[in-house]
Order: sequence, then structure tokens, then C-alpha cells
Amino acid sequence: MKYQSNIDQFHTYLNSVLSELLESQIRTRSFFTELLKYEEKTLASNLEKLSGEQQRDWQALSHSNSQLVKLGTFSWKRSINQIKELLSECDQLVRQLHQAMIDRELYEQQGMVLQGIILSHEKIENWEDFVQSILKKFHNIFEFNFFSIAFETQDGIDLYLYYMGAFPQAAKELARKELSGHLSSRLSRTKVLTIKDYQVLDIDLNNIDFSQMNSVKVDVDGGSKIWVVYWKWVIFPVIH
Amino acid sequence: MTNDKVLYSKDNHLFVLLNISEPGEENGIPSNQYLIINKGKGILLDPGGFGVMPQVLHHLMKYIAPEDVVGIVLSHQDPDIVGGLSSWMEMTEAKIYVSKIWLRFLPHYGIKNMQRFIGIDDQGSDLELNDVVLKLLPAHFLHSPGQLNVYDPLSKILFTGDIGAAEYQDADFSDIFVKDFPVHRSRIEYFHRRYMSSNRAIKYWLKIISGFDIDIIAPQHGYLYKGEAQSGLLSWLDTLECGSDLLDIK
Repeated sequence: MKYQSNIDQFHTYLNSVLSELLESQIRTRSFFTELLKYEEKTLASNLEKLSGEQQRDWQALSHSNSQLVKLGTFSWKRSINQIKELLSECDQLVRQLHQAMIDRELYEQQGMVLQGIILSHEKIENWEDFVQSILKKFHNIFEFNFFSIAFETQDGIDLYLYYMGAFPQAAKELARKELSGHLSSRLSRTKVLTIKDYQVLDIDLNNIDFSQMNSVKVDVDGGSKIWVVYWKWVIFPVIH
Repeated sequence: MTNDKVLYSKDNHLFVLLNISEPGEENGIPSNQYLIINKGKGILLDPGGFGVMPQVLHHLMKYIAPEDVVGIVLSHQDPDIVGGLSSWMEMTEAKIYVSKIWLRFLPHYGIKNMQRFIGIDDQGSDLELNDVVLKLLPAHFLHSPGQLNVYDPLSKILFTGDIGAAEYQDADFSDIFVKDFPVHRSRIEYFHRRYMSSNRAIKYWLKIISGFDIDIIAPQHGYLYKGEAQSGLLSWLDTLECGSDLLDIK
């Protein structure tokens, strides 16, 4: 994504600056509080050596000192809390901005990808290979894991499944089940379903955590001829 | 230096290498910070020295909010582990787990609220995090007299603190695992001979961890170990003369 790296940099910068500020505030508070307490204790231990006038001055100073510690403690507590809140709010805001950028670009890119795929159907020889080349290009922009498109024909429905990596068998069965169910629910009468699978990339996705999976389904054409399902499974890459 | 890397992720349970600090921040020795998450709540392992917190926090917030950090484990008392703790205690409500022998020394770091600390007995302890019970295992005298390891039975990752720690100032950490243990050994040899107290302590620790199924050994400094590198490390340690073994009393 062209804006993504800038936002990532901004995000890192913002988090770094705010947390450095927080750490600095915590250190400064600790230093000054301890220093003032220490000074007061040292002066108090020498109180009996002072004259009456000096003792009165000292008591006034000590009182001011205590007020300063109280005020400082209150002020630091407030500013530390404000930085913490700011850190959290900025983090959320930047993440939302990030997502909004992705959504906008994806919307534009998706339209082009799907237009290319749909318009080429029935016109291009080796259409399945052509689709794979388009999906590979799109995968460079957006790391989705799975793409599917279905066409209604006179004889039935052709369902094409494209896996953007080496999926475990359980994931493939899940995809087939989900999509068959999705199509059946959209049709007024039962049709013969022909399913064709393609593995587009060699990325190892055997460690997909289904509990972390999010799917995004986009029905491009609401009519009865074409259905497109388009999944982004949010997975954390597991290193093994 | 490196972005966060997920070492394990399954059924809402994650073990993440959060950050490898810049060497400049810790006098040339980068340190690793780890986060274990189960059902949205996290335990931070060895949060790092002063100045490291901003980058660790940045990576941490990709996974959970700071207020969801419910525990911080300190493998031992060194400044590259405890130096930034005041800030973490301000950012989170986490309880702090450390060997009980260090409790009375930690206030010297300027730490308040010692009631948030939980002193771990010498024999170790269990630490519950939602669906998982982590094992706080004793690794005393390696090198610290009160050193703790953390074993996660779901990911089968053993966090070893300074055991297996390597001194790298020039690595890029694009691959976080040891590739060739005989080559890597030169980066750990001096540290282990000089800092670890004795082979007796190592053998005692090896006996303790032999009861656990371990896929990855994750130290606080340098590359992680798995497969041949892991078995190479453990075999090497088994016969290593170090610390008081090397004192000539003749």
C-alpha cells in the first residue's frame, strides 16, 4: 500500500515520542519527589542548631516544601495519566486511519481485479491461468489467503476456488462447505455444482489458526449469474 | 532492530517475541522481550532496561492494550530487565513475579508499590493465565542466585533468561533462530563460562527441564534455539566447566 509505510512510520514515531515522554515524566517525578523529601529531612535534623528567627523561617520553608510536593504529585499524576490516555487514543486513531486507507485502496483495486476476471471469462483461452496471474499481482498489494468466483451456466454452477498458499485439508473442506452453502442459499432451485481448486502460491499456510480467522465476503454482482467470494483470513505468520 | 515475531499462535494463545532492542540502548548487547497472550490477557517476560520501554510498548500494542498485561515476570534482578519497570508499573496494573530473594533489593531501582510484587519460592511456582498454567521454573545460579525460567505448555517454549544468551552486536536478526550451533557457540562461550556459577547448577537445571517437552528455547539475549541447535546447546551445557569450576585452588 502506498500510504501504509508512511502511516507505519508515523505510528512508530507517535508511540515512541509519547512513551519516551511518559518514561521521562515518571523518572522526573521520582527524582524530584525523593530530592525534596531528602532535603526536608536533612534540614529538619539540623533544626535545633538554628536560632528562633531561623526556625520560624525554616518552618515556613518546610510548609512550602510540603505544598510543593503535594502540588507536584498531583500535577505529575495528572500529566502521566494524560500521556497514557493520549498514547492509547493516538494508537487507536492511527490504527483506524490505517484500516481506512487499506479499505479505500482495496475498494479501488478490487474493482479492477474483479472487472478483469469477469470480463475475461469466456473470452480468454486458459482463463484459469489468467485469473491466477491477476490474483498473484493483487496478492502483492493485499495479502489475502483465498479467492473464489462462481458462474452460473445453463447446466449448473461452476465454482472456482483459488488458494493463495498450501492450505491444510481441513481449511479446504471448510472453504468448500462454506461456499456451497452460500451458493445454495442464493439459488431458488437446486443446481449441479462443479468445484475446481487451484493452489496459486507455494506459501506454507498449514499453521493457520482458525480461531484467528476473519473472512470478508464481497458479492460483486447481486444478479443470478456471478458470485464472488473473497476472503482475508487474518493470521499471524508462525515461524517454525 | 527487529519487528515483533509470533513464535506460536493457536486457539487464542500466542507466544510473541516482541522486540529485540537496539544494541545502542543496552551498551551493545541487544535484549529480547517476550509476551505470552491467552484469551486477550498477557504476561510480559523481562520487559527490558530504561529506554527500551517505548519500542516494546509499540510492539505490544499491536497485540493487546497495556491494561490487559496482567503479569510481568522478571527472570532475575539485572538492570537490563528491571531498569524500565517503573514505567511498566505506571502503564499497567500487572503483578510482578520475581524470585523472592530479590524483593528487598528492587526498591533500589526507585520502585514503589512493592505490594504488587509476588516473591517466588526457590522451588518455583505455577502462574495461571486464563486457560494456561505457566510454569515458573527455578534456574538458580544461572547466572543469578535467584533466576527463573518460564515454560509455556501450549507453545512448548521455554524462556530461559540468561541461559543460552549470546553476545551479538552485529546481527540483523532477520532469522531469529540459531542456524549453526558450533558457529554460534563462540558467541555464548565466554558469557557462560564467566557468568554461570558452576556445572553443578547447570546439571540441576538440566534435570528440571528434562521433564518438559520443549520445542523452542528463548533466551533474553540473541538468537533462539530449536531442533539441532537446541540439543546442541543442552549437550554443550551439560559438560561445560564454568564459574567456580574454573577457580584454581591448588
